[in-house]
Amino acid sequence: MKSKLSILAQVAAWGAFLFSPFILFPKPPNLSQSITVLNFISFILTNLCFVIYYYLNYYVVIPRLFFTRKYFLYLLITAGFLLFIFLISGLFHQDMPPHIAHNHMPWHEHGPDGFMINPFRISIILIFLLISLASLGIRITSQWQRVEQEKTNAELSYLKAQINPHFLFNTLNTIYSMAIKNSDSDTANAIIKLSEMMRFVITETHNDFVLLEEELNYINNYVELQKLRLGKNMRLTYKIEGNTIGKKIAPMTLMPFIENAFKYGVTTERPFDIIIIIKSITGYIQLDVTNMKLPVVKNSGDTGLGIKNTLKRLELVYPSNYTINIDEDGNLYRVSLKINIS
Amino acid sequence: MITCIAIDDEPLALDLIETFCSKKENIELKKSFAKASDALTYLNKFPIDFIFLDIQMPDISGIDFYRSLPRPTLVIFTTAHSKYAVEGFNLRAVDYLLKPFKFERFEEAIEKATQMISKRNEIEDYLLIRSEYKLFKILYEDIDFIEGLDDYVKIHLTGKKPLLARMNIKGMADKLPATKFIRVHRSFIVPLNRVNFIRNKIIFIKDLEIPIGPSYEKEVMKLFALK
Repeated sequence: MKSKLSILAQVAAWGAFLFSPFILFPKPPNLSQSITVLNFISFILTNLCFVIYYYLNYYVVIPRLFFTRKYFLYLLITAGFLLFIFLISGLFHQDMPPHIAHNHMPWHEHGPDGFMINPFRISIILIFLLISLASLGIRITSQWQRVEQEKTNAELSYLKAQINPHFLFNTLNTIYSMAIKNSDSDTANAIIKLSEMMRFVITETHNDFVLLEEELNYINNYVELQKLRLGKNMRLTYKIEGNTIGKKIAPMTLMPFIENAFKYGVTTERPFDIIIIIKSITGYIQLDVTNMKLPVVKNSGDTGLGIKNTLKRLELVYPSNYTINIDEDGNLYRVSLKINIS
Repeated sequence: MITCIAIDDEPLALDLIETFCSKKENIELKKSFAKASDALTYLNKFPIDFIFLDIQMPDISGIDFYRSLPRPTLVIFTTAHSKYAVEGFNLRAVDYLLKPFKFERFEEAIEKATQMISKRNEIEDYLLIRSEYKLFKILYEDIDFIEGLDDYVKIHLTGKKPLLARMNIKGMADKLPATKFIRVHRSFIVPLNRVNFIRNKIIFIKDLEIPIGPSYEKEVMKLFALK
């Protein structure tokens, strides 16, 4: 679609360029018919040469010579093109008789030898330079964009290969098997938790809604793994209350707020509190997350979904069916989210 | 005792199934295979109750392997993929285990298999026995009685010579449906519908006399009292 549009735009632009003489140069009143016709033919032929030159330059000369650093040859060929266009343009072109030229375009000087100062020829050189530089510039930009695109694609495919479910889960299974073999049940359990999380992200999160229990299982696994990471300094209160069976929720709606608490509310310096309470009341889900406000060191890159994105998503999925309160008083940061899921 | 084999191209995945099976008393993992073709050869020679089968293997997919089996066999699929991807094949699998799986989840699958096997044994009218390097299909109605001889069992058949199979009598009893056969002695299993009568703790089948063992007496009398 995009390329079709760009081709259309190119055709239109070149069309306008080709027929510019009809629009830009009105027929001088007292010029003979034959000179006018010949000049128009010359204009169109020259312009056609410019179009062909542009594409030859763009698709052949620049990639073959300029990008391979054969600059001298490139300049030589460019000069050759200019000479060729000069010859073509001279075939039919008739200079206006001096008196008419003077009347019609009084700003033009007509030198005695009539070559270099000839406005027609100067204009050809200028247009040639313009086209030559334009095609070079556009070509270099597109090449650069392509390189960038390739780089992004490569990064993405490496990433995809690593989270290719077949590879990922088989590898986790291998490590799991080794842990079981060595009777290391802590490691084994941690691997199970991580793989449950990964499986949820890979297979469930593209759905509009997931079972609340699955979302909570994801959060459980996340909290358990965080406990392993953070150790004794963390004083965690984590409660799920009410009946969660059979209820549905948009995936990853609660998670970002919990992730946030573990991102900004943890420290190795002293004990800290994190309080997570999830209540499932008839028709409603309520989440309360409290963590301590700590001086944040801006080092780790943002990996989470971000609160902003989550709020946007909540607005889309549960329009005016949710309330959120973010309380930043004192040294506590408290988020209270209530969603009407019925 | 329920017997099974495991097929997976990854040795550590097989290790895991071996470890888990060794924790379950009623499951005997006969052999594990990294090559599916070896498993097929084995299955043509030995009777087993079900298979742990990996789906993504380099030479043959578990799905194709399952379809190429010589006789219908119960299968627990093990897969790294989402179960949705597998369920699409519409296979009559006992269960799908998503790798990596917890022991509790493994037990659940085994439980399903056990139930299906006992249900199947009630419907089926035969069992497969390996004897003299061959696989025999023995109809239940052909069995006169079964005699235990240490590591072997001797299956006495109507009008045919008895078959010797390498297994103990406990393993044999587990293979047979409890609705059709009963163990009456440390060394004997009899088919219920062949019993002519019981007198003085002796079971009469055709012209044979089979003793009832003291520790089996209560069970046997209960069964026949109900009939």
